[in-house]
Amino acid sequence: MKEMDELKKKYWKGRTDRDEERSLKNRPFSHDTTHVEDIYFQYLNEKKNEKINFPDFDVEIIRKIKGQQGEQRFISKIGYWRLAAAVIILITAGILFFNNQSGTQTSAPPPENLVLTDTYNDPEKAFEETKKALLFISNKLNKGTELTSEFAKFSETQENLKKEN
Amino acid sequence: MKKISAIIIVLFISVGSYAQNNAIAQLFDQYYEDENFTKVSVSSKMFELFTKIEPGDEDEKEILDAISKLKGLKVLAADSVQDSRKMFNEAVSKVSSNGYEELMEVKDAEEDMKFMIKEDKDVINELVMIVGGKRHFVLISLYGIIDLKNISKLSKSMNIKGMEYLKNVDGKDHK
Amino acid sequence: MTLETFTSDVLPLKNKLYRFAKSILDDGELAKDVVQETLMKIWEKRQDMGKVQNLEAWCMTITRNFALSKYRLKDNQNEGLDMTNERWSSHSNSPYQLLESSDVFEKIEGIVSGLPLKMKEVFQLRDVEGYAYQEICDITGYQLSDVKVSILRARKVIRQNLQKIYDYERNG
Repeated sequence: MKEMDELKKKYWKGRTDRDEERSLKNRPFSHDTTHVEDIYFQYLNEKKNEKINFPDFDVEIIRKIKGQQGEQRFISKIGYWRLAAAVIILITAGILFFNNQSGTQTSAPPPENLVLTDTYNDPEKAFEETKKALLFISNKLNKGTELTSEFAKFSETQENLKKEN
Repeated sequence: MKKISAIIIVLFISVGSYAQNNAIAQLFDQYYEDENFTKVSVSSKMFELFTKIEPGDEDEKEILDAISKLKGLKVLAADSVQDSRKMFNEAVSKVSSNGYEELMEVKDAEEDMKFMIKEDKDVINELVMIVGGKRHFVLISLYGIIDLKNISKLSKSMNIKGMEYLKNVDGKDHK
Repeated sequence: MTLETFTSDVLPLKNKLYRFAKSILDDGELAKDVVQETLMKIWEKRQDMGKVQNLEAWCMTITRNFALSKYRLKDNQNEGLDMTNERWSSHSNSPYQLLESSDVFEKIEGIVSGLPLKMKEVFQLRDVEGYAYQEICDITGYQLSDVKVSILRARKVIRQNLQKIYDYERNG
């Protein structure tokens, strides 16, 4: 008994280890104990036995998990359908748009011709040309931005590009 | 979703480039046989090859950065034509009727110039620059994802005069 | 993780998770919801399980996160109580109410549920579940010293209140 009292003192001072705390909780309590501290340790012990008390809790969890698996498969199926539909719609739209465009401009040559034909076969040369062209644009751009009131629009576009990148 | 948006973007770009080439293509076609004009066309295949170029120095690295998202380039240039102003006006009207938005216009004693762009959701995917001087005419069309900021940085860091380009092109043309 | 390992390794933790959630929320129904959400989350994250060193502590942490978000919701409805606040929480029973209840267990229950949140958590993990201090740190993310101080304070508060019950039982 004396040993227990020592342990209790130690407990209230926060100095007990886990084994000591266990021995405080897991000891035979007399049913009619009126000692409040004893009831407290009894309480701690019983508190650990509290169970989640809802009927069919496990069954419901398993059902939800299985349901979720099914749902995921369903969603991915829908996803592919959406993708397919989007592709079809866009291709159709593209064809319609292209046909429309070439219809209004009868004199236009097949655009692919010029897009696909390179003036240069040597990448180094083509790169040199590109470099020059870009520098030219760059130079003119700067000249323009120094001069025009369109600068506002220009920097706005830059901001948008920044966000985009 | 990433896949879907990637496909949508690719389709928009391809649909867009079909449409946008018309005005430019027409102008190219018009001057195709004319010896006075320098014509440069760089395809998207070629731009892909550029990504394999090792940058020789900082300047080249900047250029490669600027072109990394480009898909095509066309240049039509001449430095000794009689009716360059007329050509300028004609080109401007053709291009602007093709759904381009004007980005800026500069007129001074030396030349007129106009920048026109096509945007999709605030991303510039085509830029057309038309310059018409007393004797010279330049039309450059760029497509892909165009970063104006990057491009405008180029000449600041390299300090190359714009007209040098024209002289170079001209020199090559007469070789 | 397969459904079998889930059923054999994770599902048996449900009572422990429930008690922890309930100690935070003081509400069995809400605690059950938390455990459900936790178990579903664990199932969703089953790919990450290989990286988890201590499965039980991991499950407890997820339970805690869900319970705390519910606690904050619940708390917002009453008054803004910040977690570090050592004030008695609003749903604490007054000592007078404590003394009114017939059963000593209920009175103790009232004392515990009246503890500030952090003390309640640490008390539940240490004095009820018997976790080591380090494990409590792993679950809650509190500092070791913090955990020790909280458990000591919790015990002090409980002891003071037990004393009141004791006096009442003796005199009444």
